[in-house]
Amino acid sequence: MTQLKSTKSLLTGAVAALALAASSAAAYAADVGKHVPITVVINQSPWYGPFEALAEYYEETTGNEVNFDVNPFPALLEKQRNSVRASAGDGEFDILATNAIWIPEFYHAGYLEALTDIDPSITLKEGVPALSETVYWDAEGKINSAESGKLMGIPLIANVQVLYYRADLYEEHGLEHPPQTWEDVKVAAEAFHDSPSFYGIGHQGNRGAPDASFNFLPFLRSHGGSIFADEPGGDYSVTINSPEALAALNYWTDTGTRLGPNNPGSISQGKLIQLMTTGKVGHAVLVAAAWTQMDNPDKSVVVGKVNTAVLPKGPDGDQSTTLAHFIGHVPANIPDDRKAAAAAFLNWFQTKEAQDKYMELGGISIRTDTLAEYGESDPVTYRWAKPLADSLGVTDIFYSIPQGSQIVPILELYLNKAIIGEISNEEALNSAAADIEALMNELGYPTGRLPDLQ
Amino acid sequence: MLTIKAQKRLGGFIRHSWLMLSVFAILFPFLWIALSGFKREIDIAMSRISFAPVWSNYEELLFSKSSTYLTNFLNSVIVSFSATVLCVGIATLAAHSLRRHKWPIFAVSAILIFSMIFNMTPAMTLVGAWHSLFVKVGINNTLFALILVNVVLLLPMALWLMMTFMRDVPEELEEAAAIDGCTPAEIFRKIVLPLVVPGMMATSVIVFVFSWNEFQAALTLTTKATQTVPVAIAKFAQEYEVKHGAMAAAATLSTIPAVMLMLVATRYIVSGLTNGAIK
Amino acid sequence: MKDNQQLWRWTSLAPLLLFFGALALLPVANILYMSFHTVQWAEGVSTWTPVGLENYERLPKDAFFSIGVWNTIVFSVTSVAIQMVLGFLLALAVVRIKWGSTFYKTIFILPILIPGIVIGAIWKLMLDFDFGVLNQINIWLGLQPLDWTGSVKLAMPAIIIVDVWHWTPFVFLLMLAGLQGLPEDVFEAAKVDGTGPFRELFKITLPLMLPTILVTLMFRIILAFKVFDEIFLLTGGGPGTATEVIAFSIFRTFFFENRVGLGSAMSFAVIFAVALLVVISLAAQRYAQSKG
Repeated sequence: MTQLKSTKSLLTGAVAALALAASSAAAYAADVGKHVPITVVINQSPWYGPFEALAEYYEETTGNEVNFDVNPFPALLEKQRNSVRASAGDGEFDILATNAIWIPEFYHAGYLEALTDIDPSITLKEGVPALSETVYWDAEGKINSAESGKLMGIPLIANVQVLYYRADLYEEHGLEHPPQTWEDVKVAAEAFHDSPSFYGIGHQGNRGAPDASFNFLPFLRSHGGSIFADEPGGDYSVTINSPEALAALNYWTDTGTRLGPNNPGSISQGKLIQLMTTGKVGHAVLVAAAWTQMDNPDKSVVVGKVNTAVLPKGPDGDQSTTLAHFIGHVPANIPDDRKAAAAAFLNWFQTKEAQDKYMELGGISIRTDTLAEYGESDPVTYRWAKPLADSLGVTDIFYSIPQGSQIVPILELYLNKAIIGEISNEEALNSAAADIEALMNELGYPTGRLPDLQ
Repeated sequence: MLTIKAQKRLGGFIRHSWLMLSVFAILFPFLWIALSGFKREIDIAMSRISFAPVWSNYEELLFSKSSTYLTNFLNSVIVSFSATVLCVGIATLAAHSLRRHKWPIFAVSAILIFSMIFNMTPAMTLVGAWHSLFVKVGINNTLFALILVNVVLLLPMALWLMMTFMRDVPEELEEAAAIDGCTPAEIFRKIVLPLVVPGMMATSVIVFVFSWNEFQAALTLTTKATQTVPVAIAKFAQEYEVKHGAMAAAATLSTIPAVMLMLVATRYIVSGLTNGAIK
Repeated sequence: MKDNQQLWRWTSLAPLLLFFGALALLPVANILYMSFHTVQWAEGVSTWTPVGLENYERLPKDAFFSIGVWNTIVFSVTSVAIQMVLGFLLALAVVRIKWGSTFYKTIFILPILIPGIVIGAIWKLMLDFDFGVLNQINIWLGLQPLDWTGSVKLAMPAIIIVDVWHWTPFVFLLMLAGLQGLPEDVFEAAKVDGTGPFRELFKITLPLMLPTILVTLMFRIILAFKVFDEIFLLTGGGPGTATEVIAFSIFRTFFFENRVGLGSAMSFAVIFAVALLVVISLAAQRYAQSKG
């Protein structure tokens, strides 16, 4: 610990240098020009505070006004729909913080204006991830594509799943960390497990909107499974009942019940975070944004003991993490001056200068270079930064069709039933496949499904 | 064989035991909520019974830079009081009209049945239509719009309650007043109103409580400046972090006006209902 | 004089009609209309495709909805029945005691003053498997900790416990009102005749209270059918479909899945069913009154 502290003091110089770089943002920010006031519609969250502080900094340095309409998360989607569905010119909000699972609906419905249509000079800056190209949209081909699509927005938080694990226990048991494969995780979880006082690993087995399916996806994909045969290619044959998917589900339910909490069916995201902060669980797949609580002594009994890592590899070395990001979008139904103001703010937000300031204010940067620099400059406080930056290279989207939210309840139900042991894993996947195929048929997509698992 | 006095004592003892048991069952979760307002988040998560009390939740709630609780509280007070007064006033007038002004039976039934249907419709499915209407009229996101919504949401319940209270106003008194040359408005003001004031108070308490906790409409029909207490509280239930401490503090504070109103109104409710109102 | 009468007759009803006309009739008609359509958005405009009764025909086949109907009935009947009995007994006791009634009334009213979302969040903590105070009491008593919200068997009872805690005060309030309005002379006469307390309860109090009981029952059943906030935070409808209720299916279909047509049909199917119940209970009330 003393060693860590001295490293820390050595590196304060580096951080100070970064702060200096950040202050030069003032000079840069003045270049955005004078704009009309804008309103951002967003949800209350652990990352909202730093984001608002950064917007205040933008106001101070540019004189442009940024207002916020802050909502409880469940209200945000409906508020945005109400605003973008109003007639032309009547839109209430200028920047929408759009969650990953709403993006397909918003793109397909044509609610949004491309940033490049507002200001052709805007591009996604070097170092800012395209997040499985979800910042781009090709309205003709109906596909997320950097090549054929237009730049629609700038990520506000590059939130993805990472592995949270108890580094202290790894060291106590003499195990190498971070774990590289799901097998490594299982071995460690077996070593740590001591129910009911401590659980080796926890999964979100709860039926939510979404819990279980969101948590299961990286297991599915790293085992070589998928929901559809080729979603970007337009082949919606259901493959959720493949042998690879079964292997993933077997791993998920086996570790979740044998090495997990005694109530796997009611572990929601909030509960899983709580199990981590109360020192009850050894591993958990959680979003990066949950980090803020881990090192806060008012919220956690495991300060300094938790590390994060890129999600481990499956049997064939595949890696996947699911996007839970927010993109800042500009709606189509607002006046041009407000569009210009919104685009200018978003363009400023992705600059290195703004992002350095953002980290300084306690935010989670969207830039991989900023994350890497902070991770190197203070490897203790920012030990989450590099795993996050690395994770951004292996992202997958939950779904890409606008009706994707109708798939979620199907997956949630059967995964939940599987983890509480109400039905077998084979039955869960077969039933999910049948229901999803029926849904896709009804929605008019080319579909089919694999033969039932035995 | 027990004496009558002993019987009475035994009865009193049983009643108080049963009531105290209920007090415990009701108070325990309530106190748990109230106590949570003084705990750190980790103490709440681990259900620690012994803990060092902190003020940080109340500080965050009331005095932090981004705090809007006092505004929210004021909004709630304005909305609930205005909605209650309007709603009960309209319901009283209408109940009297429907009872005494010889409307055709089908019209009365239609109004009562529609109000029941409306009461059953989940508020969240109505919000979209209200929102587009308010945008067109230009009162979107205002407290005024929220008051209107609260009034219409609670009108069915107020109407049904006032219909029952109104029945107990003796018709002969009204007829006598009419013969004495009173106008219908005078009859309502001088004869009917004094007799139903206790019933109106009872209805007001129930309407106020429902309006105070109204959540689903306020969630989408308000903005930062017009958000009410339940919406503010919902903001503590964040996606990645539920701030139970701040939530508990906010909830505890928000019960105060309603409790005060209850204490004031209890007398009226009792006498109002003593007149045989809900029958 | 006649004109005056007519004028007042209309002005006294006008505000109600105005409110219902502008803010209730329109949205309800909108939902009804939507329930015969599917609504899709493309290029920033919506397309309403008429589908006839298709949305309604789907309901019996919808896995969540049919289970939700059954769960809602189980939930409503059980929890409202418990609330009615407890609320009545509490009111009965408060009416008969000589001192302390204001104290009891103040305490008993507290649960309905707390927003549903807080009740959901705090009870979730209290019912928590690892740290919940209920399980701590269980362990202290030498019992096994229970998985309140995560097991198929216990989730519904847990929700019912929370709902009983939340809404018994509402029943208590209305029952107290009814009891205090009962004519004293009937009871005096019964005393003179030497009627025992149980006989008095069943032969005099309950029959006299029937109208109050029915009105309370009606309000409670309607509210129970709309139960949402508590379940949203406590179980989210799980585990499996153990606590899936109608309001939850409607919420998910209408908002999360953005199928407003189907969601509206769900709403209306429920409204129709409950309206039927209400009509029956009103008929029963009228019958009771004609006898009383």
